[in-house]
Amino acid sequence: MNWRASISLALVAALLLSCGSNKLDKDSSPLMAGVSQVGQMLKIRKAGGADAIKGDAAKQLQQFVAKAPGQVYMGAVEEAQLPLVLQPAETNDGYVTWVSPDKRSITMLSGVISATRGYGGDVLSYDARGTANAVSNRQATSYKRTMRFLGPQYELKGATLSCTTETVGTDPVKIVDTERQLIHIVESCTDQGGGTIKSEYWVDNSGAIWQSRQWIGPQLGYIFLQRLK
Amino acid sequence: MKNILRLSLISLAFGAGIGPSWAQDAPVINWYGVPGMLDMPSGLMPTVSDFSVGLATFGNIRRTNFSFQITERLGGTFRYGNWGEWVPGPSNEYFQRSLDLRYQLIREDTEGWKPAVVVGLQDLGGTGINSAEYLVATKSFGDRLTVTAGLGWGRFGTSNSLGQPLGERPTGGTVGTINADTWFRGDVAAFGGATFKLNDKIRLIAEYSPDAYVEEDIGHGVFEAKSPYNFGVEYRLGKRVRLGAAYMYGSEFGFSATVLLNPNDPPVFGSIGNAPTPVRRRDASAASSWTLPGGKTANTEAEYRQALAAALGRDGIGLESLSIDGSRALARIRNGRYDAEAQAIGRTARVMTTVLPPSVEVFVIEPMANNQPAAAITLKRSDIEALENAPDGTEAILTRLDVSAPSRGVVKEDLTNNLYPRFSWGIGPYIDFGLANIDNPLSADFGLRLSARYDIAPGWVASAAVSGRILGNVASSSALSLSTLPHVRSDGGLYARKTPALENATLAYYFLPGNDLYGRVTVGYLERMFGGISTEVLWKPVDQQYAVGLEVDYVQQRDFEGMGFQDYSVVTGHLSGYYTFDNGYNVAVHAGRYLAGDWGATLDVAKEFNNGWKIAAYATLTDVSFAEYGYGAFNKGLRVDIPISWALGKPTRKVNPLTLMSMGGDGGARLNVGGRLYDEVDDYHAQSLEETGGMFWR
Repeated sequence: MNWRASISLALVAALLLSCGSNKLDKDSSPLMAGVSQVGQMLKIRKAGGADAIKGDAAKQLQQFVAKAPGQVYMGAVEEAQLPLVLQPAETNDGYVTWVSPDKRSITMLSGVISATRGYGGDVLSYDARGTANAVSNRQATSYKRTMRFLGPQYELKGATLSCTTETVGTDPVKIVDTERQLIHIVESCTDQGGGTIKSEYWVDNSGAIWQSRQWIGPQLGYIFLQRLK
Repeated sequence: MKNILRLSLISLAFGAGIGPSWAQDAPVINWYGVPGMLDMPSGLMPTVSDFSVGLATFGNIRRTNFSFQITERLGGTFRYGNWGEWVPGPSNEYFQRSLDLRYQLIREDTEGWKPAVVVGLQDLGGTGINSAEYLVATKSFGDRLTVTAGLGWGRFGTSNSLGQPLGERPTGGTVGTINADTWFRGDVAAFGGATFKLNDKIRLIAEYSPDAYVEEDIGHGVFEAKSPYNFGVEYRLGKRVRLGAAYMYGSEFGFSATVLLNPNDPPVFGSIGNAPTPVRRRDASAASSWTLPGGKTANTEAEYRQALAAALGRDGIGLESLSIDGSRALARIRNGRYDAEAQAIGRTARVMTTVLPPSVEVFVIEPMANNQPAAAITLKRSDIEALENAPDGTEAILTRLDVSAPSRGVVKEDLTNNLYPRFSWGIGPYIDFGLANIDNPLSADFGLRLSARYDIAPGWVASAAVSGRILGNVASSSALSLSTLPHVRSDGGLYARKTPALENATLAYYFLPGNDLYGRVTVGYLERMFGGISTEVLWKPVDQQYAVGLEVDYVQQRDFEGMGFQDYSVVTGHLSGYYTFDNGYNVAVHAGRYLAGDWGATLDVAKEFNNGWKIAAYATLTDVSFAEYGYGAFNKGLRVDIPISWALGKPTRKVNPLTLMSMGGDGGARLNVGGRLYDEVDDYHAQSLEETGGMFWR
């Protein structure tokens, strides 16, 4: 008779199979339908960028980028090995929310991530203003960054980081057949415990970020991004 | 470098007391479902809020243990004990439920000499086969070895007695009640043991148990304890699953399996559901050039309504009605997806910014519960625009959100097209435990339930459910009820013989009779055993933690098989008081007349976590005596609700209710009518929105 507990637990699984006529649960996003095919083809493992994509996939990517009405980001959540293709959905006071075909989103201020949604250990908010200023001005500076996460009981958990930026050099970066000389900026952030993480940004002379590797929290780790156009 | 920050950030961001600290070695769980060795307990405690389900079996003995760590120092266990070949004959198994409480008196000082000390009551009814009391100390040496020594009474004192320091142990108390006069009485004996961590996966266990298994051996000959020494291993499959094997009492090999869950430690961290629709900010030119998503322009309220319904639909939210009055828009929504109610409000507000004309500045969102609005949440559109990306946006929006009583009445013109009448249906599995089945408390039916719902007009709902058994044994019970009370529940086996069966078929009307008042009238086949009319009024101010409800029903008992009724009818009903404490404890008292015509009260206590986990217990005492009630003495139950969203990391309002115990005799039986008001209405009131407030911008 010990099957009682087993059955009860199996019911968790079975409930998921329950079906019905509730159309509210269905979802569609025609917005990104075209992007999804390209997104699925991208198999980005580490910071290799669009240049690592070869053959037909590279052609499709080029065609997709050419057709895209606005900017396009490509990249990956590195630790989760999750490829990203992002298009802008909405702009609010300088913050642009970029959405991917799988209906997750990343919000950025001038290319600096301020929030993620739908990746699991999301950063609810990450103050991007100091970094955005420092990177676009390409000057060594220091500032505070606060980040907020949600705990398992929806409680807000925050951390404040002390950050500095420095320019470490100029790197050639090739993105979709275009090679640019980009200024390489490293942001170092330290928490109260003394641990340090580094994020990297590659910017052009106007201060626009074309490539970055940003640390966005203890759960998600690093996100690598390239702006394709 | 990365890892250092990772760790220190986790402690900063998810600080002490938030998540279970799995780094620290979790104690071995014994075969009674509590920290210990094999049969013997230890002085250790699991992580607070740990919920474990464990099975253990050796010889003819089987135990199903459900444990919950109520506070850091207080733990509880509910257990089904099962003894095979107990009596001669085909139906030879014996069952007994038991409830334990254990309290940690002293915490271990890992640096110094102080051990962890626990006092425990096993089967605290005091009259059961498993009844035992203990005082036990555990000390760890290094990070591999723990050593335990204790004193046991009851069944833990049945060999090598040290005497009876507190006198003889009385016998013959009422089963199902607490017989505290037996605690720590009778023979006391010493026990002890040790666990050794061989590696991350394997713990070696040895113990000395003074439990002589007297009842099992001498009483029924089902198990013989030949030696007091037990040896075993515990194997850990990740942090959630434990498997055990042991050689018990020099006579039998046994096995155990335990699953450990914790509401604070979801399998998927955070939400992997779809991202919200981003806020669309109005700019200077918006007033002249506003278009709907997709580029069309709208001129009429109906066009805005249609566009908003389509946009909300993509987020899994239904639009009941929309009315725009100058700068104020009132949207009534049906949230069928988000278990964190604040998330549904936050998403609705964001979608509203993408559709509604720029002149609209005030958003009033009224979530529907049972076809009537449950609350009115008022937000400023400019706050939504300004705070979406503010670093402190969550804290800020929650201080600016206003919750008030819902508006009453329906304006037909405001309704979304084709919303009424509307038919919906669902099919899913069910499990039904034969509640009052004395000779087999573990009887259960498993099958499929087809339910249908017809939303006729605002407030009016017709619904029905049919269930078909696939397998089960509730109906096969040989015992006919001998209850001297009207058989309002004890004929469950007779009802269960009919399959498929019409469980309910009702017409319900929900209405708002006044400010902060909610009403319901339900007629028809209200539940499997009763039909009639049920009426309810609830007073629940949106910003308060209390509520008062009154329910009056006139019901007649249904036929076992057909659609007709038996002769028995009764007026039943309750006055209910509800209070939600800040620490997540909800208390409800229902006082009144029960189905058998008995008068009394039900106390319902639940610990509810913000993410939807709920551990609930209830007990009913009425003027029916324990003797008249029969086995179990009075109605009581224990339930755990596990939200599916917690397991999946995706929003869904589905919950897996795990009924651990439900003693349902004829005394103290409440009508089981669907659509009771409190739970649904309360979901959208101030406190619930505050508890889920972190999810507003999710």
